[in-house]
Amino acid sequence: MKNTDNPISAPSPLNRLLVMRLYQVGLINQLTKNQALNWLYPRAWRYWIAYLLSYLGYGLILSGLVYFFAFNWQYLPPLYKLAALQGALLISLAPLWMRSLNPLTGKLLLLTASLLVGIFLGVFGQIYQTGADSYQLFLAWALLITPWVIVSQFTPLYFIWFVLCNVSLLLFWKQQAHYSLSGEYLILLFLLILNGTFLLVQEYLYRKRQWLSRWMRLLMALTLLLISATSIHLFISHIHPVYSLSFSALAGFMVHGIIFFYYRFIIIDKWIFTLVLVSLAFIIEHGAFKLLLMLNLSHALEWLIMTFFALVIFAASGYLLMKCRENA
Amino acid sequence: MKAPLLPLLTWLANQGLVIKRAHALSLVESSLPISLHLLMGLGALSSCSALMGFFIAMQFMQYALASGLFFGSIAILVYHRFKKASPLWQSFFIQSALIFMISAKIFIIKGLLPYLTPYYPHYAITFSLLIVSLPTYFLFPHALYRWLSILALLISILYNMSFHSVNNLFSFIFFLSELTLIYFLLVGKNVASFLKPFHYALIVSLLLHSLVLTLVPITPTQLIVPIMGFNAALVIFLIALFLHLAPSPSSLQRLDLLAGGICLLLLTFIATPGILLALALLLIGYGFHERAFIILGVISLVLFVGFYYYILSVNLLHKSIILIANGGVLLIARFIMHWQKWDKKVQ
Repeated sequence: MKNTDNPISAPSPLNRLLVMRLYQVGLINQLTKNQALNWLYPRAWRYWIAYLLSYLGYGLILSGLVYFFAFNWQYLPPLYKLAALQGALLISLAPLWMRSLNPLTGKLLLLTASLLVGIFLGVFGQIYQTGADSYQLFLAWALLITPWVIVSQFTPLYFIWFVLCNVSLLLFWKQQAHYSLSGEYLILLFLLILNGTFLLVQEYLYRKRQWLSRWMRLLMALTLLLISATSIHLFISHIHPVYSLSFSALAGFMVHGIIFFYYRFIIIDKWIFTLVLVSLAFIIEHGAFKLLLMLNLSHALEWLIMTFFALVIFAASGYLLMKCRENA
Repeated sequence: MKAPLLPLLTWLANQGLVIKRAHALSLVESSLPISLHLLMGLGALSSCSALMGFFIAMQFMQYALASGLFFGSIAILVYHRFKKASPLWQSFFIQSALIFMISAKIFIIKGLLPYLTPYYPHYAITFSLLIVSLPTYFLFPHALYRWLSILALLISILYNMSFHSVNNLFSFIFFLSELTLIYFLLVGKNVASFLKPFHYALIVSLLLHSLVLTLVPITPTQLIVPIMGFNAALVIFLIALFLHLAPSPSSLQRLDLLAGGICLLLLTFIATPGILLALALLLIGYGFHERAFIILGVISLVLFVGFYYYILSVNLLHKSIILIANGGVLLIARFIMHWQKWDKKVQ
């Protein structure tokens, strides 16, 4: 959408920020700011309206279908319910067979079909009272749409699949895994392995074939950091951590180390590097606070030391980020 | 960093919108990336939280008003002392001053409440916020502080309107005032940048107002203005925005206007204020190059469709029919665009 004819658009993604900064310091007025932005990023209204109408239209129809089947209308025989869903599924898929996935409409239809598969499984379980655990529904849903996720290379569909996989694992752990009390935190380790594999595959495919968008990488790295940070913070909080928590925390530290190294020295991604720095800073602070508590100092002194400690830790993180920026 | 700015400055000069070139270039050279601001902001939050812990441990809360005024003065001094420091220190100290100022504000409000509560039991917090926010909006000109400050005030007013009013007439007037202010702040030619935080706070407050309207059965007020009245106000706002943003309204054909008009009329009767506001946010975001509003619009659309599920006055079957009908109307409009070859560039 950016104006490719003018020289300003090519070298820096900061152009919008530059204009906003000129406006903020009062060098240009609001009208000039809007004109400059329109010049930098010409608005394609027709494209945008078509895009908006497509997304909203499909989104509202899908929500309507979910509400309809959640209503569980007694007057509608089960056969009709299943037939209606299968019909909707066929209607979504037929244009894809006749045309292709390339226009946005094609990808949206595949997204619709993927969501219909989930609704179908839900209604099927409702009608036949299968008594299956809910993790089975999510797992079957994720498995059934996997080929479509691979074929479409559509970030929103991949995001849904990513969420389904994580929910399936979490529900499986809650409903089926027969773990001992000392093994309850192994779920964190399994989540780390699952999401770590996703990020690894994403990185490999992104380098080979520009697979999915950069946002998906950021989202996956954030998920991974959140899980590993949770395991480390839990480890620090527990006085006598069980073996599963120790393993998960160790894996969490390794994940932090790998992400730090990879996105600092192999592929420089300033946002992921910032996230890992923030996470490490809070982990170090938490560890320091725990140590201070063990020293039995007065509360006022503990807080005062923490104030200066936080200053030092974040100043050091800022320095590392500045260095990364200079090397980029 | 300098390279991309030069053509922009040249373009501005060619358009007769001459600005101070040297000043602009020096500003850009000294700017930090957002990621570093974020890191420094979190550092400031963390260290200032620990400092507040220290003050509480020293029992400063007993003298809330005096402590608040003292900390507020320090925050203002630090802000003005370091606003021209080197970028990294500037980022850290300015954000430390911000956290300090927010803490000072909490102290001052806590200190003011015992004086105001006997006279205005329901409105004491709103008045305290007003007393602190007005002077500090100018004394402490930090954009995030200004935004948070005004947003807190607007939320407090909204709470009073929704839970302490006999009927929803004042809520409607407040809603209309917010919409009118947002419109004029968006389309005005010489709106100063210091009003931007106020503008953003108004938009978020309007979003919260729509949320309250969606969950209206839980509020004790009498509905003398129906929800459709709020919808109509939002539809008029949408039309006004669209007419302002359309490249040349005269180029619109009768069919386009008819299709757009029918869609909006339908939405007035069947949509919720939240869904309409989400549409307005998407329009503002795209038309005025505000990416944050596009994200906010998408998130609020998903949330409001979700909240719609919990409205008890309509059953799920009716809701599903309404949603499918809405979606169908929008897809028909999309089909008309395709048929008229409006979207030729896309395909």
